[in-house]
Amino acid sequence: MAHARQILARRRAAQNISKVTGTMETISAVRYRQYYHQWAEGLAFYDALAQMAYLMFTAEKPMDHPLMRPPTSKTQALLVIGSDRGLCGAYNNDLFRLLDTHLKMAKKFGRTLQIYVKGRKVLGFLDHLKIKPAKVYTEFAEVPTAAQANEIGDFFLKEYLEGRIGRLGIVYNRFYSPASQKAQTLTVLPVADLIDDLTTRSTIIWPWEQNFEDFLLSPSGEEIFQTLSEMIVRTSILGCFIEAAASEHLARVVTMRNASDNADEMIAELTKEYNRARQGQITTELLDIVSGMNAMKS
Amino acid sequence: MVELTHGLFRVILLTPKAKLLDCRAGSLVVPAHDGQRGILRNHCPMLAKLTLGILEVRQILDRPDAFYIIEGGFVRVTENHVTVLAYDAMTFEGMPAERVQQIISEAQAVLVGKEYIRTQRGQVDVRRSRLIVRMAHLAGLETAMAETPS
Repeated sequence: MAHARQILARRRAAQNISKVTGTMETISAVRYRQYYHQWAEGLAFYDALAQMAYLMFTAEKPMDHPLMRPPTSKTQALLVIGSDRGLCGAYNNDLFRLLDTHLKMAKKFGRTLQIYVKGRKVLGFLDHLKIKPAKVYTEFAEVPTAAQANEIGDFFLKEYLEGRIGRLGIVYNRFYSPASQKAQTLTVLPVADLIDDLTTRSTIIWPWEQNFEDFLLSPSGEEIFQTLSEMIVRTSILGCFIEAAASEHLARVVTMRNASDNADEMIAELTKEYNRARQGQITTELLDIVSGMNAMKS
Repeated sequence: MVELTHGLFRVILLTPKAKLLDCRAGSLVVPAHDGQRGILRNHCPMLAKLTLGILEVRQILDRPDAFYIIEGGFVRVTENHVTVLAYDAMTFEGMPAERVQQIISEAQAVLVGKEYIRTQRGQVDVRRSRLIVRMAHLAGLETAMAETPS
């Protein structure tokens, strides 16, 4: 059995770990609530956006726009949203697995991949694979501002329209609900794929009686479609960052709670062990005293 | 001002991060791409592109008028339901009074030219500052308007 002092040192270490994990859990819980609130409040926005996209798609005269035409380039852009810090369970590993699949698929079908990175952990993984990212986003911490998201969206729209990329996917942990998050790739460009995703997850498709032709449009239908597509791409990128941040903090809350529970369990075990060791030490000392006294008497 | 008596309609203001307004109002002015547009009850179905400007929601049921600076987006009018989709929106509502005063003062400083050099470097948006001062005027923050340049 270990000496009481050694057990005490181990218990102190476990207590310190418990304090750290408890604090990290609290911090992540606060941030998670903040991002969850943004996600929940934003659902109505994406529903409304999906309704407008549905309205435009159901027009009698189909829209002919460069964003709707099939891609010409074989280059695929991937925006990978990971975390800057670890200690969040399998959050990053799920992304890496997905990214690995994309790399294998690109190699198999002879496509070029351009990887855009958010998060130091993803950068580390790419370094390990000796892949140089096309760009690393460092100008914001977790979620970009509306203006920054617009800038990112505009960059990819320009790349797509000028034929430098044929597809844009965002690899991130999608936040379906507080009980379900999953790493997935959301196809943002061509925009038809994104509209398909938006309308699929929308709760109400189109509750009104009016058709596209009943609407007074300002400016023209083509310009509205162009602006709507831009809005869908830009805000979907922002939405992905919000969902990724909510998923990351929730993953960290769960991981840190488990770590705290384990540390508490260990502290309880070590306390028992320490008490046993201390009791044994006292008994030994008492026996020494008693036997010493008996020796003196005799 | 003549009160509008055409009845109320539903107004919803949505951004990717929040539902900022869901109410019944009597009139609405939106910053459309080609100028301001007024909307009353029984407006025809409409889809319009919005630009940076002030959204004015007036005669709201059970609360004072609301004003927002919106960063562009869309307005959709269907069967007396008006949905405004904006990239981002800013309002003085719910903000501490000191913060409101600070924002207005900063905007006024930009407009009178104190921030001229910063403006030249593109750090301060003059158009936005003008809108902040205008919104303060609309929201009846008269004290803040006392120093507003003409």
